[in-house]
Amino acid sequence: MEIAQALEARVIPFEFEYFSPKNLPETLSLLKSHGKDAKILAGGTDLIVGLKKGMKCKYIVSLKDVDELSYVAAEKEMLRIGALTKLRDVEKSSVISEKFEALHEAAKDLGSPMVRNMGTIGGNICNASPAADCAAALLALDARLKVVGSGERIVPIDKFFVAPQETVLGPTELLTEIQIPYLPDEATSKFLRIKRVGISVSSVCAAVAMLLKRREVEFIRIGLGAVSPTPVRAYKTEEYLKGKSLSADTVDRALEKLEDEMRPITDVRGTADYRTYATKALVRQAIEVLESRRGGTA
Amino acid sequence: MSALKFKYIGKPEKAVDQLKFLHGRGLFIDDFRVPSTLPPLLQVALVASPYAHAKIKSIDVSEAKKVPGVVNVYTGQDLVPHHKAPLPCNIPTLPAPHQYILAVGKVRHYGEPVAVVVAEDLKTANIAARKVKVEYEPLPAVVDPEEAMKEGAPLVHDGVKNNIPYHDVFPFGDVDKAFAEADVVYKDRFYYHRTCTNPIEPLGAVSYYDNLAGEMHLWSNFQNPRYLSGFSAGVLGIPSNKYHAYRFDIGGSFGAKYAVLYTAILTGMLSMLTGRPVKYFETRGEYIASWHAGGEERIYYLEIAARKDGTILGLKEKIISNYGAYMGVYSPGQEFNPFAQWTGAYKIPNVYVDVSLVLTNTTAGSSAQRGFGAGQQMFALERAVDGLADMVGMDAVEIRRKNFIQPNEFPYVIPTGNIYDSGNYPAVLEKALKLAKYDELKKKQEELRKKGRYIGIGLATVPHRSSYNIIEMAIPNPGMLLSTSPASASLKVNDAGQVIVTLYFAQSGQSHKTAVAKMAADGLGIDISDVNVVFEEDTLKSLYDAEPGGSRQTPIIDMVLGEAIKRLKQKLVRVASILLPWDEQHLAYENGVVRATNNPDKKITLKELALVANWQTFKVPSEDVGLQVEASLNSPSTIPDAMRRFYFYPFMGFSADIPVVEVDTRTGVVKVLKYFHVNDSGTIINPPVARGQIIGGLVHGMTDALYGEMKWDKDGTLLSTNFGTYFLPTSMEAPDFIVDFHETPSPLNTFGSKGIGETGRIVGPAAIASAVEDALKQLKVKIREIPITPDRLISELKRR
Amino acid sequence: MMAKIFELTVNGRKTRVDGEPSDVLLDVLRDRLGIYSPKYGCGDGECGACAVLMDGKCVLSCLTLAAEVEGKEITTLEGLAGDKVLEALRNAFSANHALQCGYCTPGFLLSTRELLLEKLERSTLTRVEIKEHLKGNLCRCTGYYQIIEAVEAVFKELTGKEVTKEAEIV
Repeated sequence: MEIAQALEARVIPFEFEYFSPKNLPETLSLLKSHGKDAKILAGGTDLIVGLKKGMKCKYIVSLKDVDELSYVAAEKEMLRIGALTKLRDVEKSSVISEKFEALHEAAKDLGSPMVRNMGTIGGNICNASPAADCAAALLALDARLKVVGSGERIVPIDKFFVAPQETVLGPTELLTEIQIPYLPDEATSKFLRIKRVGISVSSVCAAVAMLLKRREVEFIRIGLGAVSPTPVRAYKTEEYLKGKSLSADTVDRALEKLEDEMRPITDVRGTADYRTYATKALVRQAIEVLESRRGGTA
Repeated sequence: MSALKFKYIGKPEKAVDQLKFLHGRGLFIDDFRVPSTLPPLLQVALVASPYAHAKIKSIDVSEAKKVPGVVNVYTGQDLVPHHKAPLPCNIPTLPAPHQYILAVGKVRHYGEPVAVVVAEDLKTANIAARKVKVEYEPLPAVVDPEEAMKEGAPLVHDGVKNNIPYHDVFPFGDVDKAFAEADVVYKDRFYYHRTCTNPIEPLGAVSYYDNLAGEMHLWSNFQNPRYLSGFSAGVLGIPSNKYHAYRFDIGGSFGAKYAVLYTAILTGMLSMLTGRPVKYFETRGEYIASWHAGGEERIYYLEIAARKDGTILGLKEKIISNYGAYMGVYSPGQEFNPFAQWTGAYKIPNVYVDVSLVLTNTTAGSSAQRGFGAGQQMFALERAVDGLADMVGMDAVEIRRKNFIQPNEFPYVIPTGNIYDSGNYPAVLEKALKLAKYDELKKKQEELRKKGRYIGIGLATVPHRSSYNIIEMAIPNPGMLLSTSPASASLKVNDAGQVIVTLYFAQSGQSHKTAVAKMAADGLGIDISDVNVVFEEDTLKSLYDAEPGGSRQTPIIDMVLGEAIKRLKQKLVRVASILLPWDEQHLAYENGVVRATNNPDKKITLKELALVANWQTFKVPSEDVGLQVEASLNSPSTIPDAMRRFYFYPFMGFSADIPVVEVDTRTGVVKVLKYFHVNDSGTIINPPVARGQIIGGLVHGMTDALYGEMKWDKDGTLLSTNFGTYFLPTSMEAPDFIVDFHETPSPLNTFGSKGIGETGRIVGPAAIASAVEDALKQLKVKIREIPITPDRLISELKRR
Repeated sequence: MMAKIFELTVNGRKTRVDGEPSDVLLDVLRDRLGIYSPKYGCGDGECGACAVLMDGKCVLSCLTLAAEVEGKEITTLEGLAGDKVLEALRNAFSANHALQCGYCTPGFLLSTRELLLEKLERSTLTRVEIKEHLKGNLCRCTGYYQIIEAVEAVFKELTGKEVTKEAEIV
């Protein structure tokens, strides 16, 4: 390391070739030939920062003209969100705020309004930050991701992330759509985050989707951000809670299990210990809110 | 208050200074374009070290030089002969030269530049900078100051034993006797982190050396160009009388652009080498990592002794200050600057200070920062007073009332020698308690606690020194020539009878044009539309003004303008005595007219006088042509005596602050809900401007108390390099501010004003720490360290 | 050298600028087109001083490649002369002393204008919404409070209604 990389930030100090394909087929064709040495430019709020700080590539494939990937479509079995939908549009979508509260809450406070005017939901997912707010929400909502390359495949979101800033996307592939199955009528979801200040990346974030029948947990899904190398589901905790009655004791025990499912690090935003403690507090709070929302009755 | 006495002072007025910014028409250094008659501008990019401590084994610039558009690449070694004098350093024990503009032989902190590329455009410079190959041999780094002081710690500078270039003790009074007589002694350790001011505009400069005329031109956003250009000229070997430093609009400074020579010297040197204008405008990361980041990390070991009735008898402090990798021109200033208000609002007759400056492999903290260390001392003192209150069973309000300097005791000399000019601390505290409806707040707090919510009501009562004289620089460096900090103003009346005030300092948003116009209009008793206030841009054409810093300008210009008005009135009377004619002894000026005191019909107006003095100039004495006057004044001061007591900050404001916070004990997040502040800064010239300064300062105080912190890992790699990692409060964190004023004018100047700029940051951290501790009283959590981050708070809570 | 010629529409005017794909919009506006109101404050999208309007929406020009805005309309403060909401904001910022050094002000004017345009239709606005909307604009001089007061004053002026403040905890 010869230069203090973290300090760069005014110009992009290298040359690249720039393409702005007009539609999806053109995009895929470009990725087929250049994907290995290319970066995909969606909103730019992550990529441009990276380019100023040492990230290099030979090609930039800009999706600015690929309008067909920007939509929020409520269909019969699922909600389909185009990967290039701006976060501001995700935030303002009434179907998302009514039926997929966790995603609405994740998008609503992400970054700042200007960041949300530019950034896309696909970008937030593919950038694969361990703290990706939308990812935590989508994990709890059991989303599926449509990936297109030479063919098409559906990747469940909990199989999408590999490592910090790394996903299963191959160099010739593109995330085109996020598919979210509707929650059963009586189920609901909640997303919570802790930020140091208004514009910070989340120190920790958690999303819970839950269905209670009487006081029993029929299903629960917990998505966690910023406490592991990638956003994760807390399967063991979910397993523990399934079929149980929600009591203070049960929740306490469940949160003990949650500790084992996190591998947080210490960084500028918080210590590992804090992240563990705070995430448990968020999950507890989310469960409390969801419980009171549906009244916990038959 | 003042609104009753004056026509303009005290009345809210739209600041004309700010109008251009609303249309995007400010002229900031990054907007500046060199005159087209000069050679084209060159840009630079720095090659910064990724190591906190390393030997520079080799630097290969050959590839970088080949990039088309690169003019040259210089290493630290290349620039050594171009330092005609060492970079000024105010610690004589450090062998000179202590620092070069680029690292030579060794790097001592992360981000220290080792080479610079000069190119036709910024992108080329940056591309080439990445082709410079530097071979480092990493050395062990030391980051923690108490670790750095131990035997065997890596030495940041050779020959500086234990990394302590300066240590001294300052006894004022007799602490041993005081402590022996005391009934109780409260002891504690306090910690105030390393801060970085982070104005939204980084530092920048353009230099052009005109080798035909032998004159240097520096365009920059320095807060105090006059003060700095002298030092830069010395290093560059340019006669000071040929060094023009031009004043610009400044995008916030708060001390960050004070006492920082870096951009001037680098661009000046490079311009001399290339024959062209050279620009350096920092990136945010460079600003944070470079050697002017801000306030030093301080550890206080404090003991405060009192009688059991709460009367404080003595204060003992051992302070360890982490100055990072280098000491600069103002370096130790932030230790002794707080001497101006060391004992706060209280009568503490015996004081002992033991101060060690420590070097570590972190960013050099040689700059000033809003408060210059006073906020740090007030944090430690106020927390200690609260700790003492607990010990003697008094509440926070009682113990303060008991120890306040009383209204009839001003002017009050504190043990360090500074003199507080005026104040009424009990009245201001009373007003604050009423404003906050303190007793009601306490009741609501109780109710909410029963519902499981942790609300805290803080209290801090803190004086605010203003208008410094930089005498404190001499304390660590007794060999240096003592200096004070005068200000100047010029005044003239044109042929239309309109007044022009010329001032000689840079501004970063303080609205002095509007404020001084009010002072001039009220001072002369004329219509404000007949007054224009202008600022001279070129320091060489300027009268002596030490320029802003330490909340200087308002009270000292108040003094200087008063003197200038007095001289103008003398001139008007003299000219009137000739023109009327009338005996000078029986003439007096008032409200735009010179009138005979013994014959009210004999008069001449300012406008009539001015027309003659500007047009019919043969009718008036030559010295009165143009009705031009100047005044330059020092504010009151004394030089250090044998005990090193000195008087250097004559104006002393005061505030009583009551913040209300809520602590979420599940997540450790602190939210400031409301902030009550009653401010006494003497006569308030323009209330909305004053309120804005107070609130802005309080948010700086909040930043220190709760959010932003400079962080390095154990190897000295800087972790806080941008706004994502150095947390600045956003509008989301802003509480409701309820501000009121109480005016105890200063007896030392014309209109009674005192400075207000640093107030918020001097009191904010103490007040907020007090509030958080109050919120967690039942949980017995003590706040002794700031910033109060969620992880630290949870850690504390878990321990209980 | 990957030269590119940008066809940009800025403040209602079409211009051709020589550049490279790696050129950032903020620098093209400032260095090539003489438009100085958007400022460099951090370079990574956190301070909002570089705000411009792209097809009417506030975006961060320091994170936008010049190449990305071909075919789009860029508007800066300089191009909004006569805008009624902006006029009202300017007056309110001045009357409420909502600026000091002025560096962040262009960014705040564009952001507050965007907020008001959104909210004027429905005539409801809360103080929390103002704070949430402005969090992408950092200010180190004012402490935000007088800016919030200015926005509230404009809302009242343009709708006759008060901004709703959140229920007080204490």
